[in-house]
Amino acid sequence: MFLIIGKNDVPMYEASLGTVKKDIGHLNQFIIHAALDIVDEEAPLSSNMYLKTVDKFNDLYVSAYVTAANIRLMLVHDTKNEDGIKNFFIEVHENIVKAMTNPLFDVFRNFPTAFDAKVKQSAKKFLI
Amino acid sequence: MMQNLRPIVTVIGGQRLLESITKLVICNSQDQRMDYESVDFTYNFDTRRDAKSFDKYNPQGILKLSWTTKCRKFIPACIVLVFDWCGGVDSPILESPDWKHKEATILKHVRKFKEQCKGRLVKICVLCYLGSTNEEIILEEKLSQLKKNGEIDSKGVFLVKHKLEEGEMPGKIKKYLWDGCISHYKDEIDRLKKLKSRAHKELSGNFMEIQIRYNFKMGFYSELKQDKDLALNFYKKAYKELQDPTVNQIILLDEKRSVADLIVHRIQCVLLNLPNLLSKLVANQALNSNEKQLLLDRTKESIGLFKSHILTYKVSKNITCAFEYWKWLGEHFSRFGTLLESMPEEVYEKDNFWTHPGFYFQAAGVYYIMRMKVTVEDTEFLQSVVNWQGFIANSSLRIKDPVFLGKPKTLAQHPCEADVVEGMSLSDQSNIIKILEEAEIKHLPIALEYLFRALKFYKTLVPMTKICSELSYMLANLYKKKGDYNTDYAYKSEIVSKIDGWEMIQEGLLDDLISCADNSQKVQDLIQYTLKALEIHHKNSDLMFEKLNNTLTGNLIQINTCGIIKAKAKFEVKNITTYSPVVLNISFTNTLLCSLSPIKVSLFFSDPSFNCENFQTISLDPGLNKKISYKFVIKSLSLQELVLLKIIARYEPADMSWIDFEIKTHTKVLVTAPTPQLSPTFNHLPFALIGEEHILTINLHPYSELSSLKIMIYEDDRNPSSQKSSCILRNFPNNYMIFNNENMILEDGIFISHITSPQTLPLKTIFYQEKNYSFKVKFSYTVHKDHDIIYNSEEVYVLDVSAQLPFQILMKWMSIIEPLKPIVLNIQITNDFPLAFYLSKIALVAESDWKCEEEKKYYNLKVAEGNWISEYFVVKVLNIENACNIDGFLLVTWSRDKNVQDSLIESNGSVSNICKIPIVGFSSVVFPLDIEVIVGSEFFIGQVFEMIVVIRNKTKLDLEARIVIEETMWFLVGGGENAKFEVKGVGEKVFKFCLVGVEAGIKDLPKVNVNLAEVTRSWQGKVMILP
Repeated sequence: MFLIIGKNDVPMYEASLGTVKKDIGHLNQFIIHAALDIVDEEAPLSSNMYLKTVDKFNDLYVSAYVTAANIRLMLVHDTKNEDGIKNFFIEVHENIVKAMTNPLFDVFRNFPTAFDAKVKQSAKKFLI
Repeated sequence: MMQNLRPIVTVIGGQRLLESITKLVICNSQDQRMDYESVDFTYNFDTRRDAKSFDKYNPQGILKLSWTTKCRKFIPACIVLVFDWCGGVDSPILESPDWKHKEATILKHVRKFKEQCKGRLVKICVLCYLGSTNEEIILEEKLSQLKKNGEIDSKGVFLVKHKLEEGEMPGKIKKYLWDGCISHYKDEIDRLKKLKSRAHKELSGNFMEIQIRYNFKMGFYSELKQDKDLALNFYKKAYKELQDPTVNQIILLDEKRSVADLIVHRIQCVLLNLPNLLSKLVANQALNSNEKQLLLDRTKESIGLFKSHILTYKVSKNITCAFEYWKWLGEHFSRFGTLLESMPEEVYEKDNFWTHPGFYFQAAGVYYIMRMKVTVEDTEFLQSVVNWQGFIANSSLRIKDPVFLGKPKTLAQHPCEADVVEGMSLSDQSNIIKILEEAEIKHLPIALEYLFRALKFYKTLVPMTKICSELSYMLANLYKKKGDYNTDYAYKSEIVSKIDGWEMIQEGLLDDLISCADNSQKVQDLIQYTLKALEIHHKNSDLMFEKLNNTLTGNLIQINTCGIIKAKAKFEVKNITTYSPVVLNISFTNTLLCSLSPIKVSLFFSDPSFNCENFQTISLDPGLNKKISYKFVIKSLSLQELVLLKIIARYEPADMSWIDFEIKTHTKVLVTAPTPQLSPTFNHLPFALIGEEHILTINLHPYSELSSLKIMIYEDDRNPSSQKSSCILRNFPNNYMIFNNENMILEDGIFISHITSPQTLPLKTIFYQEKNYSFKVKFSYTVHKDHDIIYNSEEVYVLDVSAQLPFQILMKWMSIIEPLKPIVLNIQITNDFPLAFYLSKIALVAESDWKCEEEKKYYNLKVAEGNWISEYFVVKVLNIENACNIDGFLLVTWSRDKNVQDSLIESNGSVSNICKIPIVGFSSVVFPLDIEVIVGSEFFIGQVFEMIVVIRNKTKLDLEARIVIEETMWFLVGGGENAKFEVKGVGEKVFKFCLVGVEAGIKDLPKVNVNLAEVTRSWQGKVMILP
């Protein structure tokens, strides 16, 4: 489960990337939702955008990446793959910036479909 | 396990005094607080065994399971024997009056307990409670004997007369007990040290178990002795020894883990036990920087230890007892969370969750839930419990506790018997016992408790809203499992409102809430949650919408909600005028995937009089905008702005059942006063001649149909004429007259019943004063706009008319005005206007002390355009003191008609007017000083002669003036040529000047100038200069 969360704590983009083998429905979102509190506390103190694993729920890990515009990239995964996740986040961040510069789309409302394809491509490359 | 270890005082007997003794022991300072145990005189302590021989000693384990309990409960550090003179229920009988008998009883018990504590340094003190008896005098004598015979400490016998709290007694007892306890534990530590060193020498093989055991025990005794640093040293040593690689070869992992758990807990207890700092914080005293640092360091150290211990000793997930893993973690997290909870808020770091007790409770709660999943919720586990319970019951087996901590429990026929279960390994037995014990655990309430504690922490101490939502969700699910659907429902309702935008979570929660509301017949909630689900486009939207309609049809429901229907409202213009139609455009959007019909629209404004309910019925299709307009007229003149506060779109699929979708707006329109519907213009000549007809034309230009138009003209009295001005003598005070179109004097104004087109209104006016008239013209009328807008309006305009004399008057004083002297005033009357006028009389009327006895009379003397007439009048000023004060009028009688005689009768035709013109425009002023010069007439060249100047003040005022003698080429002048002087009222000033003539002939003397303010009076004479 991968989420991009905007400034007002509302998900802007959501994708199931196969990083969690067991399907636990909306619990994934709940785990990310709760981890936002931790991200919000840790992000201002960290000099890195990638905050590594910020929370753990049973066997599930929550990794986070916070952009300068306070857009939070959150990934729930069940296996540790720090470097892969970091690279995935960096690539998605680049794609967000590109999507934001596209004058035809308001990313805070709807990401372009090409963005979705790019996220899935990055997930294939770094996560699976 | 107790968090803080304290010395143990055993109180024997003395139930009557127990409360006082308890207070004495417990309510001590933080440093010297003790615990107590109460037993009776029949109690027997375990006697100490002889020191063990290490020859062929083979340790069976590290630490006996019961050792810590024994130490804390059954081995006293100090004993208090309470003898009650009044015969308490638990006191030995001391009724015999014979002291010897009493002494024997006391000594018997003292000796018994001394014997039982042999081998241990346990101080025994005797407390004799006299109560109501009066034997204190006798007793005090006998006590020393008792101490001697009983070998009791000299300070160890206390005589309590009435109350224990009296006098110095409590302090003495407390000190005795504290000292006794400390010496006891010190002795125990010394004994253990010796034992350890002997074991080191005597034991041939590896003695690591013994070493860990002794270090732990020494730590434990040091802790009891309240020597925290020493305790930490020993505990850490023991913990480190446990991790020694050689230990793994001889000690089972379970045992090692159990001992490590115990030690690590004791270390954490000691680290986080800072009573002095905590009592300071409780008393609201600030900690200094060192104390703060100590607090933070201790917390960090204990957290670090906790983390490393979890990593090192975490139980592996074994299939037989899957719950063991969660159990171990849950217990550790909950235990450490409880320890951390006792710390002050200063240690909570917002960004470090490991410092939050709530974090540990949350984890513990989750572990208990996981533990529950693999036990009581697992059918295989439940089956195995049933199987093993049957097996144990059939075989009449009992569970046998191990002797050593961490060793497995076993099954036996009797707890004291050796293991008898044949064909079953110890680990199997242990696993069966673990399963059976686990089945007894009430996981759900424990998980609930920990989650509650976590929720409380994250709601109050370190607020974390999102974590609270997660905790509430966990709690809700636990309540659901428990069968408490109401609480489950309450929690989920709370969460669903807080996570807008998280549609996946909302969808899951709404499913639960809808089914729960449906089951519990909460129709209002059912609709609210159904609407919410429809709003987020729930996967079952269609079914839900159908059910919603059925519910509305089947019940009488009125619901107020927001969302789903969105609306944008905008007034067509931003500013409107009163009585003008205003149009409000509203665009509705239905965010649902289904069509909503019928929708009744109501509007609510800042001024409730504009509210309109159900004014239009529409249907809203998904994804399409529906636009409606609302047109109305604002008729209130006091309204400055009108705000549309909310729109209510009522979905009413069934009669009397509806859902009101409330849409809040702040659309506003500014309201200004209505524009005048009548535009008047005033036409007249630039000025009017006084006493003559002047036509004033009012042009009326209506913009709408007007009725009942009333025009009032009145003089604006804001600028009354204060100056004297020319006027015509009249019998009544009004200085102007306005006639209407019927030649009637305009008093009640002009009334026009109906006007639709431009109209001209000529008015005849006559003004009788020379001034600028400022009139106000008020138009009151009723406007008929369209067919339904009728309102009254009133506007006031300003009309300025200048009135002046029909001729020019020029007054000129022909000489300086001096009192009592005849002065000539020249009056010149000039006709500047095209029409001729006829003069009858010119006269002067005095209003102050002056007179003019003549007047000029004519028989209709014609003064044509451009002609003028000049007359001279002789005036005498009678006022000596203020000759300049000449008030009065020039009266000019004239007419336009030469046949009209002098008359004051007025009519609208030709009249003879008597103009009253104020006398103004003096050409000269009276000089208040008289200058007299006295000088001879003939002098010779070079002869010095005197010129005396006398200046007299004609007024009563003191005046300041300057005298200046102008230089001349004929005379040399000596004396003041330029002097400033003051002359008193009616006084005089004399100046003497010496002159010498330099040339013969009749010569002008130097000119004498007297300056008073800006006026100069001069004198100049002539003299004959002889050669």
